Amino acid sequence: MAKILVVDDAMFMRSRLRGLLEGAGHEVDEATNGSEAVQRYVELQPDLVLMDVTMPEMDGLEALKKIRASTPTARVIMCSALGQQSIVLEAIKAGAKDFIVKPFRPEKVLEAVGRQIPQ
Amino acid sequence: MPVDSGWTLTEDDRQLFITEADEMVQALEEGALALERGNQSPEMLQAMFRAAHTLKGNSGLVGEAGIAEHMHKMEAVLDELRAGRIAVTPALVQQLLSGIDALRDMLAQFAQGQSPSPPVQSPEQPQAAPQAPAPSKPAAPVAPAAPAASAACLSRYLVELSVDAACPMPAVRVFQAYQAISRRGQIERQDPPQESLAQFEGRSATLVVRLERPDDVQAALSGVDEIRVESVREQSMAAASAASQAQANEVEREALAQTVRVRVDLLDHLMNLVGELVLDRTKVADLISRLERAKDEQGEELRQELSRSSLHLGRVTLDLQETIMKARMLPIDHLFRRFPRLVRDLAQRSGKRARLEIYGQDTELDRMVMDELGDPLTHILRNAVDHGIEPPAERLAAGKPEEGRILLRASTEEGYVVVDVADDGDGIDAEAVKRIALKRGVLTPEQAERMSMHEAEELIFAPGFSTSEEVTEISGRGVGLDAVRASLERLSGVVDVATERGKGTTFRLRIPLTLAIMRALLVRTGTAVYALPLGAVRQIVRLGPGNLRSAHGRPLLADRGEMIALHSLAGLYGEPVPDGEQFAVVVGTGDRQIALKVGALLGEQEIVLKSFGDFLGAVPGFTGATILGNGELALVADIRYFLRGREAP
Repeated sequence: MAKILVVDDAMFMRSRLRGLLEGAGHEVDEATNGSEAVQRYVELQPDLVLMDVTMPEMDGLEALKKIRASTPTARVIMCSALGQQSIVLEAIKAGAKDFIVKPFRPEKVLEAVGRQIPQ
Repeated sequence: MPVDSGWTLTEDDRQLFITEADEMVQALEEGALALERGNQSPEMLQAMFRAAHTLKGNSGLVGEAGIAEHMHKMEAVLDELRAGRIAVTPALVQQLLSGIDALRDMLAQFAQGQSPSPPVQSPEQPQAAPQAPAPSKPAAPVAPAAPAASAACLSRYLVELSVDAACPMPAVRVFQAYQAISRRGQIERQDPPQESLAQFEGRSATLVVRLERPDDVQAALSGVDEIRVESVREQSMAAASAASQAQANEVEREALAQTVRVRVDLLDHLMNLVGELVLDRTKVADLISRLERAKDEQGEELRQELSRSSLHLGRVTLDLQETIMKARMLPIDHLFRRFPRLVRDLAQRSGKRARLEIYGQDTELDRMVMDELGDPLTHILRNAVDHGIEPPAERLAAGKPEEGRILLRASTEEGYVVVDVADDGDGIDAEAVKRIALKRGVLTPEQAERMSMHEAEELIFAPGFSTSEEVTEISGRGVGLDAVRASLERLSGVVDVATERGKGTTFRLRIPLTLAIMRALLVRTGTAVYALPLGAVRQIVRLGPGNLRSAHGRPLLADRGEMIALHSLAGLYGEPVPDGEQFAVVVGTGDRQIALKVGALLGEQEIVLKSFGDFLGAVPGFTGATILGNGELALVADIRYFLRGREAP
């Protein structure tokens, strides 16, 4: 079981991911934009972050960089949409561990999470 | 001096040597320029050293002791550099560059079949071989850094990876794979290269990597989704000696790029063959339509058969055509890579600071087109440095970084290659351009009054617009830009300019991917058939009282309030003007256009352009001829000729 921070501005997306991850036995917390994510990360010190790319306030790439700057070991998986390949590439260069592409299938999410959190 | 190297050298061998030597020269020059910018990495120095070393070995094999000697000295300097025994200074860079220039001259002489004379700036003089130690053993082994030394003990593997077809972001997966593998070994080569990953949409990647064990690849990739190891093959370890090192490099390069070198004349021949095939196809189609009109019962079977084989012929031709086109294509890097040096030299000469950034160098272009593009691009870049980028003090005063930035970017767009040259200089002063155009009589005061900003900027392309003093006065551009436009039009391309005061200027070139086959509108006038390149055709109208006008006795075509000069196509070519010309084809490039009266429209067709050959030479008014499906000859009109105001033929 791991502590996972789900960051997405869409409530629907957050609740789907929460249901899926809690169903797999993880503890889930949420943030609705990049700057909130940076703040929650410090308070919570989660094992893993699922980070949306496009968000208001601060986008996912920016938040990723801030989090990695304060915690170089932070594990972040980017949740992107089709057509964002160059942003995702930049995110990986900036230290994101992996990515998933919306619309994602539940098993894809769990696989990606599983690769970062060995059971 | 050529000496007998003990090897028999065919023409192909010579060509290969030259081609490869060019690559080495390029690598050396890129390295020297990077050194000058302060980008110094062990890998780069290593690559420069390797280039000098390989070229030395190759020169020995072709019996060019002079080049080998030159390279030996350059190699010695690079060896000192990579060992950290001498430092990079501006003088050293300049000396390296002079050495490279001398090398280039020697290679050019070799290519022309002469034995290179010793370079003007002999590498023996300190100019080209600074602080070189007394020639020691070639490639004196130095083991400066531990990683390099230990890497040498690892085996080298050729690794092929594939990305799942369903993966939406192959570039990211490939990048993750590079990252993961580089944690376990040393990647020496990778295809696609990292710099161009952002545009990568392929499904396979190839690497040459030094590893302890081949299993390391699989282990490294266990954490990366959607990627599979297709093969891991050990490369020969004979890479110890110089000659086999070069060979190994060659093998790797072949494996990575999957390319072969083909001589241009061979390609041209293939292209001609395809041209013939295209004619055959057209001929068959023509036969069918004639058969159809024949309405012969017995012809039915024949007709169907012909129809089937025509279909097949069409497929084959298309495939062949596309394949050959591809074979004629080269990455535009072949053209671009000489420009960083050009920009550097120009900036230095004019006391400015400028950096050239290149994007899209993988964009492919027909090599014939590429050859033609060299001069105009050089011209535009020269203008960018000379007149676009401001002197450092002026830039600082305007709140810009001292170093000017010039962007050279290639991309493709539906059968066209687009090349942008953008500088962040001062832009073009449209008012000043107008003043000068007035002074030089390119423009009347009334025209100047009515002219839009953009039209004024376009004036820089007008023939006779600029001389260098005026260009300096307006701190804009203009030197020979009419020549640039003319070259582009020869390629059936266009050049446009966009500029903003204080922000900079962008020249955009649009060039068709290939020249040999084009689409044309066929028209008949009198007894002759002419082909009008479709790219220049703007519209076709039926002539009648509604749109025929005249002014000062000259016929005009009225088109949505615009008056276009109307000429008989036959008349323009000095033929008698036939009666009953009822159509007009409006052709043009840029903002110039003309309406051509013709007798009949025969439709659109793909044509194979043939030049008139040496015995006829260039014929004014025509770019060449083509043979139609029915065997008839059509002359391909040179649209520029009509637009230029016609000199008497």
